[in-house]
Amino acid sequence: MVGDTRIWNHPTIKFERKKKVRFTFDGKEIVGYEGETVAAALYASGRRVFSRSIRYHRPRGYYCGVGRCASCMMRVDGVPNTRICTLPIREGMVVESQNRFPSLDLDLLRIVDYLFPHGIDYHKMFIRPRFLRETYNRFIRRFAGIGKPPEPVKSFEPPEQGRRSAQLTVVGGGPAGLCAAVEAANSGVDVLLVDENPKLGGRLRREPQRIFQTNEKEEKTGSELLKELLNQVEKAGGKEEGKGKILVMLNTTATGIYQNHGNKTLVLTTPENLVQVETKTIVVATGSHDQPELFENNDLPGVMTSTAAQMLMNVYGVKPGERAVVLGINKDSLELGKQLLDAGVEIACFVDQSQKRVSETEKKVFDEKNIPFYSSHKIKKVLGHNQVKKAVLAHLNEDGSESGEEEKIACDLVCLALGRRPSCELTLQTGCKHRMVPELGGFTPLRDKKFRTTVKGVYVAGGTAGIMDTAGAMLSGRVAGLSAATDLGIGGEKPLAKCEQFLKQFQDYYDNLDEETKVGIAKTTVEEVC
Amino acid sequence: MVVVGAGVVGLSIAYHLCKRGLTNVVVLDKTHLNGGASGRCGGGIRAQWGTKENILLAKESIRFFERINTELGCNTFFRQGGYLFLAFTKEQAEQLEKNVRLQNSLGVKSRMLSPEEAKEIVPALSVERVLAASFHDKDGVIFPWPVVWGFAERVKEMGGEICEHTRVVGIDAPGGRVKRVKTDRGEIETRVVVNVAGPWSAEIAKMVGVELPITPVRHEIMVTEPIKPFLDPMLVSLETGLYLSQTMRGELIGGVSIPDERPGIQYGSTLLFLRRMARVVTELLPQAAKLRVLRQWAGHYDMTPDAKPILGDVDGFERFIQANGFSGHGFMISPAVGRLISELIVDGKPSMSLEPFSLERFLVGKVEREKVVIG
Amino acid sequence: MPSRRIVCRCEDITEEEIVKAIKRGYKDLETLKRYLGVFTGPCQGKTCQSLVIKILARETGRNIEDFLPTTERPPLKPVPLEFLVGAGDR
Repeated sequence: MVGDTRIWNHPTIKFERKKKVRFTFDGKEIVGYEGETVAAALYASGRRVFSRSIRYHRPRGYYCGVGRCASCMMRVDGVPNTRICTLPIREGMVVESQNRFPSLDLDLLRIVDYLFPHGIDYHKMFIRPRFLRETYNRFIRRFAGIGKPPEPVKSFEPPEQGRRSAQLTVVGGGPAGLCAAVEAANSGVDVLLVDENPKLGGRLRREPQRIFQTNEKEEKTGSELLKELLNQVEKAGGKEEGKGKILVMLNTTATGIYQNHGNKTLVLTTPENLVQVETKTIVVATGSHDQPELFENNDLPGVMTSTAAQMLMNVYGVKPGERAVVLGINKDSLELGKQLLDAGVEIACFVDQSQKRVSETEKKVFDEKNIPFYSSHKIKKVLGHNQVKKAVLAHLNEDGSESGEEEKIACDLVCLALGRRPSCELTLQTGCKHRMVPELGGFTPLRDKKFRTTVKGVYVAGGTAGIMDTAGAMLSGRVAGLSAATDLGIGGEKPLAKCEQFLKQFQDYYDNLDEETKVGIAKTTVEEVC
Repeated sequence: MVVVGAGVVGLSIAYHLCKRGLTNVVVLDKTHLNGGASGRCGGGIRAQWGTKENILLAKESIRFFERINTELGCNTFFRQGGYLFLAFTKEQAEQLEKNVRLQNSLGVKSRMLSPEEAKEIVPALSVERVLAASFHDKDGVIFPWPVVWGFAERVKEMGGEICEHTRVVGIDAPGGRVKRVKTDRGEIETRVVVNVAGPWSAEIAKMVGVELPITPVRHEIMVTEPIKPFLDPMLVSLETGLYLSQTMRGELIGGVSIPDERPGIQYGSTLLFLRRMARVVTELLPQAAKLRVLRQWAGHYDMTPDAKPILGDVDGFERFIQANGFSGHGFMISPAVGRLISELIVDGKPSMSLEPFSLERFLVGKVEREKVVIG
Repeated sequence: MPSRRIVCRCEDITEEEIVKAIKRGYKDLETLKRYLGVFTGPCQGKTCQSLVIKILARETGRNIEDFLPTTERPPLKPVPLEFLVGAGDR
């Protein structure tokens, strides 16, 4: 296709592009492939601006990639404020941009951005003259709000709700969640495994070519590891005696937990309806969020999290840009760099504020392409009209202040790979205790060594527990699943013994961690919880 | 003077006291500003009440809200889009008619509407089961948080003091004469204590041996994602206790009655509330079915047996003044209450008699219950 | 083009506006949230909470580990009203 930025020759990933799907965006026909999201298809067609910000009407683009921020909201089939980065395309879908005049690429309302260079404090505005109060109100209301109201209807049929009960619900189908579900089911627990994506895997799906270390000290790629775990899930849903079932619900978001006399009522939403689950126990394995960063114009389209870039290039096969600046020098950012190169993206440089040095072996693949590593640098600002065109790097002194040296780098993509923080929204909803742990990135739930939180029946594993790397995440998942099984009183002595086994392995894993992460994990581990 | 409770009523009292020149006021609050009901409410302002006292207090307060932005130097986004009450049974319609007559007699220009007229005001409204409606175009909605910021900043500018995160642990009033207030951060010598502690007012009153018939009851509230202008007035259903309006940011905000709610202080959210709210809202506004709920939270109504506040001095005390038991409408009468209590303190006698609001009315037994409590 | 450091993408709040609000006296995470509107938009703070806390810690000199999160409430992702309509609310 003309102007198409899809990846057609990826060295390791084969993208399924069988059926073409046609939909319209602001009246224009866009062609995508079945399985792509609206955002991916639009991105592939060359669109970078997805929405306009609420006050200043600044252009916003693909940023988080997982339906968390609100930068990609559009009106889809008459429904306003729909996040398109997680919405699969459908034949005949009508997608329209919102809150812009006259168009998404040229929004005259951006004049507000120019009129108030030092910010808007609405508390101090539109106060005088007093008699104009209702006129001001009418004016402000027109510009407030994001989408237009939905189409008028005379009546509607509410979709039928689902109801289930479960002994254990595992929220999150990444490595930690999959291990928790497998271990619990093998002990005889009936497990409900939910994941908000169309396929299981979490980070294994997002980084299929990355080489992960497993608990058994083997090295497997993401896709190999995922295949293995999915195999275990299938086998665990067996008819053998003493084994429980694993019921998998995909495209299902766990959106609310309510206490219900000792049990928990978990509210799940699918694209079609709501499902209410009465569950005795729950393992929260929802992973982690990317850390944001502040620099001038950090909201320009082209600035996106590393998760977003990985979704685009590794899952949907769309090139996130032509030339990237990777912000962050760490294990994950180097892997991201390799994945960007695989996708055909040129890397302008790696940037990090700290004085980190990278080992020669880690740098090798980048040295061969003369990709510089700028430690002791930060991104001061990015420039561009509706999309990133240049990044301005500033050199930092030892104390962190700017030395005055700056460098302009041409690029159209800035990937934020500065680390992650636990995704603890669900655990916060349950009311279990959390602690701010800077070493792990943010608020992390407290838990005992068997991954029980301070609320009875709620367990955590993986990124949610602050354990970001895959080997540790899988071990924590196994322990949490077995912990839930023993606490449910299912499986007799077996789960308890197996749990001790995995606890030993986790201890080994912990002993081999770097100091900072060790401190972080120790901060969240408590002796007793209930 | 010590005002216990930095909610909108406590701050309004402090504001009016400072305006009268009495600037040695200290307002105490056990949490941060906007932490209690004032920071959790839907911001509805109405004069459409069923008892004379509530109507008069609300009517005066609306006049204050019309000039509140310039008075406080803070934009509170007060928007007079009116309140549209909906009646679904003959009894409810008769109640509305009775209320409108009373309101008109007191100078509030509300009027009865037919279902078709109601639909003209809210085109998206489904009036199938609506029997009658009432409307007052001077009622409206306000953004609660800036009202509190506005009052607080003005109080501080005028010389008053506001102490957040300061819990009252005791009040010394030997022989009924108030002497000092003890907090977890020190003591304050004072002769006047105003008890504006919302659901915790009974606890405060117990410190001097006074019993207040206040029952805190949780009320939940929810908000949708923001959309362009869709709903002008505040919609109220007498059948379900629903209230729903659109904020200046574009979100639909509202609550509904849960009659089975057990009294007591609890801030948790329930699924039952969301479900009931969704059913009631989509019955009245089918067009809103595709709108998404963004967040739900909860606050408390400090209920009295007749749903009218307790205002004024307490017999036998010098001076332990009550301004509590607002039963879910403290915000909308806070300007009038602020003025009256400040007059009580400064002039010894308020310009409108507070007899109907005295604590003693419960002992006499003759109380007229306010029927139009919503949410 | 006005150069801004955007902290809250949902409500368009910049670092400058946050610092100004802190200097006005809104030093509590809870009052700062209510004064500016951060955490009250469609993403409910998922994107910016760590940044706001960092800025608040820096401006007030407080230890970042002393901060408590704001109240997390359902729903985690917005739910259409029509999904909630069904048996079970009476």
